[in-house]
Amino acid sequence: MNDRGGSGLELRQPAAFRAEIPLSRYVREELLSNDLLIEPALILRTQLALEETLRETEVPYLVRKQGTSGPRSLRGKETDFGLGRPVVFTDNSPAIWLHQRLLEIRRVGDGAKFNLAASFAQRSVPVALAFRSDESARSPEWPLLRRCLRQSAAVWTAGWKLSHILPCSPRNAGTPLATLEAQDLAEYFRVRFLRNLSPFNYFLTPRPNLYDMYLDGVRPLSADLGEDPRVIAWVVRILREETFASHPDVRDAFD
Amino acid sequence: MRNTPEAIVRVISRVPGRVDHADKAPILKPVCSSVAAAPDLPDCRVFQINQGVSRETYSGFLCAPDRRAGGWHLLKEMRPCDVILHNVNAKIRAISVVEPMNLDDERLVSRSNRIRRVRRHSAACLEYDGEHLSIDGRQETAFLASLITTVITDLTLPYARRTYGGYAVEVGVKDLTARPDLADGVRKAWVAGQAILDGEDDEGA
Repeated sequence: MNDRGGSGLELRQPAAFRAEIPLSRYVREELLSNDLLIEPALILRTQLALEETLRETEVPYLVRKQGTSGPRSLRGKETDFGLGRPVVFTDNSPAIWLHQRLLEIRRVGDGAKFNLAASFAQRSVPVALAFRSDESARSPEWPLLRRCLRQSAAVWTAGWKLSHILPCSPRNAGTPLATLEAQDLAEYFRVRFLRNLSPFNYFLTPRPNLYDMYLDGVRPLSADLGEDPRVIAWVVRILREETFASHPDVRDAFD
Repeated sequence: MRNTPEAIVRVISRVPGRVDHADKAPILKPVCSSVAAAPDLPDCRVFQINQGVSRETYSGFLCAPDRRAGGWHLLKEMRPCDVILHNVNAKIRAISVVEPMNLDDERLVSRSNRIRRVRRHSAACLEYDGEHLSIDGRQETAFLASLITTVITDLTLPYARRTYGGYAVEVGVKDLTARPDLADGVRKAWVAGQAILDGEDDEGA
C-alpha cells in the first residue's frame, strides 16, 4: 500500500428501512458495526501518533474552519497566529482521508505501515474537498482530498458522511472550547487539531443528501443523524461500554 | 450516560438503487418526487426546460437564478430521476434525467471558481452564491443548479406545454397522457436514468 491510498477500497452502503428501529439498536448494529469501525488498538495507536506528530513544531494545527465567511473560513493556507507553528483551516477532508487510510490498513493487515508524520512533513494531508475561488487565490500550501486519495473517498461514495462526537469548532460563547480560546490559544488549537483528526472523535452516518432520516418521526438537527445529541450520546455509550470494553487502555484514552 | 434517551429511527433512501436491509425492514421502493402517475408513466415529475439543448445541457447541469420568476424555483423541487424535456423553439430536442446532487462531482468542482459560497444543497439542487455556471456576466449572486444526464438526443417532437418566455414548467400527467410520443420518451428516459444511477452505485460512484 502506498501513502497516497487509491487502493479501490469499498464500503457497504447505509441501510435504508421504513420500519422503525430503536436508536440504541441502530447505533450498535448499523453505525458502529465492525465493517465501519477501526480496530480499537489501531484507533489508540493513531491517537498516539497524532499526539507524537504534534511534538514537531513545524507541523501545523489542522483545524476545522469556522463559518462561511471571514479569514477563519478560508481553507488550505498556513496562517500565523504567533504560536510558533502555523494554523491551517480545513473541512472534514483530513479526517475522511485518515479514516480511509485506517480502513485500508485494516483490510491489508497488521503488516501495513502508515507513516502519519511523513504525511504531515510532505504536506500530503488533504484539507478540503474543493477550494473556492477566494481560497485558491491565496495559493494554499495544503492539498485537496482528491489529490491525496486519487479517487473519491470510499466513505462518500458508499453514502456515508463523517460526524464528530465533540465539536471541532466553538459553536457558542461559554462552551469549554470557546473558554479555552481566551485562556490558552496554543492549547485551544491543539485540542481542535486532535478533535478534527482523532479517530476517537468521529463515526459514520448516512449522507443527508442521499437519505431522509427521522428520530421519533421528526427530522433530526440539520436533517442529519450525526448532528443529533441523542445519536451522539448512544455512540459514546456503546463505544465506551461495549466496543472498548475489552480494551481498557483504549477506553481510558477515549475517556 | 446511563440515562441515554431512547428514540425510534427511520432511514429512507432518496436515491433509487441504494441498498435496503431486508433483514431489518421491508424492501424500499425507490423514492422520486411523486405524482399520481397514469398507467405506464413512471413515478416521477416531468419538467420542460425552455432553454433547450445548450452548452449547459451537454455539460450535464441546469443553472438558474434563485428567484421566483420564470419557473426558476422548480430546480428546488427536482428530485433524482425526475425527467427533463429540453424545449428549443417549440420542439423537444432532448430528454434528460435529474441526478442526485453531489458536491464532489467534477462538473461542480471544475466550476468551483464560480461558486463563491454554498448556501445549502438538497437531494438534487445546489443553492449557491456566485456566478452563473455557464453564462458569463450575469449580475445575480444567488443561483440554483442541478446535475442532469441527457439520455435521449436528436428528437424533434412538438413541445409539451406552451409557454411565453418562462425557463421551466412542470408537465403534468394530463399533458403526457394526451401525448403518447412524449410519454414514451419520458418512460424510456426514466428507465435509462434508473440504469445509470444503478450503474453508478455498482461502481461506487
